[in-house]
Amino acid sequence: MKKVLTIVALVLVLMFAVVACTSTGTEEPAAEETAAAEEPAAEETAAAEEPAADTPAEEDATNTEGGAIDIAAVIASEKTTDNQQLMPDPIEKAFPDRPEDPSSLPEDDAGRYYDMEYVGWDAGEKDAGIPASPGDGPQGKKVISIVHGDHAWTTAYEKGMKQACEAFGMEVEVWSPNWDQALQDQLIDQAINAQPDAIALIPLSAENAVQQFRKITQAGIAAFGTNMLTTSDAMPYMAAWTGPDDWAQMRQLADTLGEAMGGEGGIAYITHDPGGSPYYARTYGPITEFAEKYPDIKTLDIQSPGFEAAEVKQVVSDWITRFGDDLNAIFLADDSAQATGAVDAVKEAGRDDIMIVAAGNSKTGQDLVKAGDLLIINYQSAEGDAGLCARTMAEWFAGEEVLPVGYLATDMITSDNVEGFYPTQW
Amino acid sequence: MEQTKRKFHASMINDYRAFVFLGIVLIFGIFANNFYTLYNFTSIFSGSSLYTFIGLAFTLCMIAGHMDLSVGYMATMGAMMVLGMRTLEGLPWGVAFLVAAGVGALFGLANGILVAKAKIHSFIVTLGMQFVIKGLLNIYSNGAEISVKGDFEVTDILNSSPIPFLPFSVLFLFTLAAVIILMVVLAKTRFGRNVYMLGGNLETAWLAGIKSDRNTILIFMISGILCGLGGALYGVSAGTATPTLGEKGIAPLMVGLTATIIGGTDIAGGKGSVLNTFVSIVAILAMFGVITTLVGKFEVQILFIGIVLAFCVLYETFTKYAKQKTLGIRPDLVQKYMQESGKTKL
Repeated sequence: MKKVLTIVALVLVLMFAVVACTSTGTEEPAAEETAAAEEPAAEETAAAEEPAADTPAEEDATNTEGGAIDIAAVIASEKTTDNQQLMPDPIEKAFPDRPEDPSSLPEDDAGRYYDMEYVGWDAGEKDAGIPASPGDGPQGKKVISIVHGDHAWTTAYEKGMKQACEAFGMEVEVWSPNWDQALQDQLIDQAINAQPDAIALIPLSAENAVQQFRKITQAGIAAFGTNMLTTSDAMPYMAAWTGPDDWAQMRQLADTLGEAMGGEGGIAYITHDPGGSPYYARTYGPITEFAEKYPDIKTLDIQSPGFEAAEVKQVVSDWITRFGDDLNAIFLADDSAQATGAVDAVKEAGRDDIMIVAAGNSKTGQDLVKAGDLLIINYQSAEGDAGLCARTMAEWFAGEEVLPVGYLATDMITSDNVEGFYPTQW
Repeated sequence: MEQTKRKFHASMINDYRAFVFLGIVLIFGIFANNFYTLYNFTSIFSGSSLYTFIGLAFTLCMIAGHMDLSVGYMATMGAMMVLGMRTLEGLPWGVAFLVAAGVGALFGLANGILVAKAKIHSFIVTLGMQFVIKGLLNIYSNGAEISVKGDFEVTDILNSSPIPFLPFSVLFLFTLAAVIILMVVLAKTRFGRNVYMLGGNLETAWLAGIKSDRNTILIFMISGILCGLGGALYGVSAGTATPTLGEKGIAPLMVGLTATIIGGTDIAGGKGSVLNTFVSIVAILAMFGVITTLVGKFEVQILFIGIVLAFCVLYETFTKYAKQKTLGIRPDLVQKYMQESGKTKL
């Protein structure tokens, strides 16, 4: 026992000695609202005193010597794998008045999801802790991009982020927590500790994002939300958010499907992971759209089997048995593994009459559209998603005004136009 | 009893392998950018909180010769309960924490009764229990996450550092208190000795008059309380909780299990240390930080955890085999060897 305690004491003394040494020179922390905010502020001060290579003063010099980058020219020149624009113009969205009490509205009323669909536009003032833009351009800036997890989509996103950042002369690192919430929280701490100029985050959870973005902002680092929508409470802690307008895209998909169904029939839903913004947008986006425009299209069931083809196939097979001819269409939250499972089940049951639509545009999805197995998917560029985020960061670094919420341009992919979207990004 | 001074040899490294592991990680930390900063160590210690509570619970059960695979979901339940009670039911924080710990105790009680009274192997009981908890959590929350809804007062307190220049958040201090309390309980109380005896040899424990059923139930209840509290503290410090916590990455259960093994707890029971488990968890968290900075790849984290775990298990298996082989062939020679070498154990 004595030996153990001696070793513990030695290790702690060693650590404290090192920590104390590295903390020397820490000035009084900046006045913050909370004690938690004091540490990052103190660290930032300490870091700022060291002659780091990425200090603003040196970046100024770099820019003066190397000349400022022409952001517009870079935006125009970069293309994605499928020859679309890597950094498209962000789209603004008009938003209606907020219902008095959205939660009191029925499940198929679009107003119930107002705070999710129009998140950010009416989130109020930005937090005072968001740092001011350095105004000296993107060149030499260090950015850490924390994604949600490993996936073919993420690989394409990472490619887009690196390509775009490189084009702007920014240094970027992409970190992945592999879908683990606790690990993403740790990565955020590590990213703050690395003191980059900005952190771009795809939050794993809409609610947890509030604390994540709050933490980054309290550390004096510019936070950019990307891809996954958060709750409104997180928006004040972001310099900007960019990503797909899932709700609008799902409504478009629903409109096209509703028309193809002749405005009546039964539909079942395979959802995204419960809890995240895609879950609500890709489930209740179409449900509310059908309720408004095609009230004779009835929801038969909603299931969340995940993203394994075998699981989805099982669920769809069960539906075919359970609902029989009442099942006329299936709405999928994913056009790769989910689509593969659903198409397999439908084919095995000989129910080619069941129409399937899916969100996303993977190679699997596009091939299925081309083969006529999927009716429609929506074009949602993974590389473009990252590109738009990088563009927004670059414009912010240059002191330009950026939209608080910038949506990614989209399109519907059917058998008529699918050829134009090859080669696919993932 | 005659005490022989132990000389430095390989088995000592094995006994203190958690500290050796931590030392190696700290050395590698020199090569990682900004590793030795106050913020980073605060982050490592705070990040270790959830894993530590789970690791303590897992270690306690394993010392007693049982496996509690439901620790991960019980922690998730603690997080969901505390936020649900506070945000959805409007109860005071103190009551919400008590409910989280209480529900953990209830599930621990259920585990304990099934193991002790129904004589079902703890592996099967707790494997099933985790799915029961998962189902209940999804029904309770409708699959969605629960957050503090902008009420960050307690979150900020937990994440604050009350002692200047020390990397200890309030969250970590609670965690440290739990480690110390459990260390004292295991080392200084009759219950603690019973835990080791139950794991070492159940029959001997019974002959010694230890009420094995009662103690087993109590062990699982303490495990449940630890997980409930650990999850609750994590949930409040993160500001949110989801029923899928830890399902897709390196699950907290796996980190707790790995740390327990690295810490030297015997899979067969009867031997183990919560301090070593705690040190292993801190080392694993520090290793995550070093690897992220040096490599930036999640897969490498998994790889390194796997390598460390495999090394520990291999070493333990080999030494156990050698010991049993020697003891089985010539026990008298073992006695002679120990007398000559001055070793107190093989």
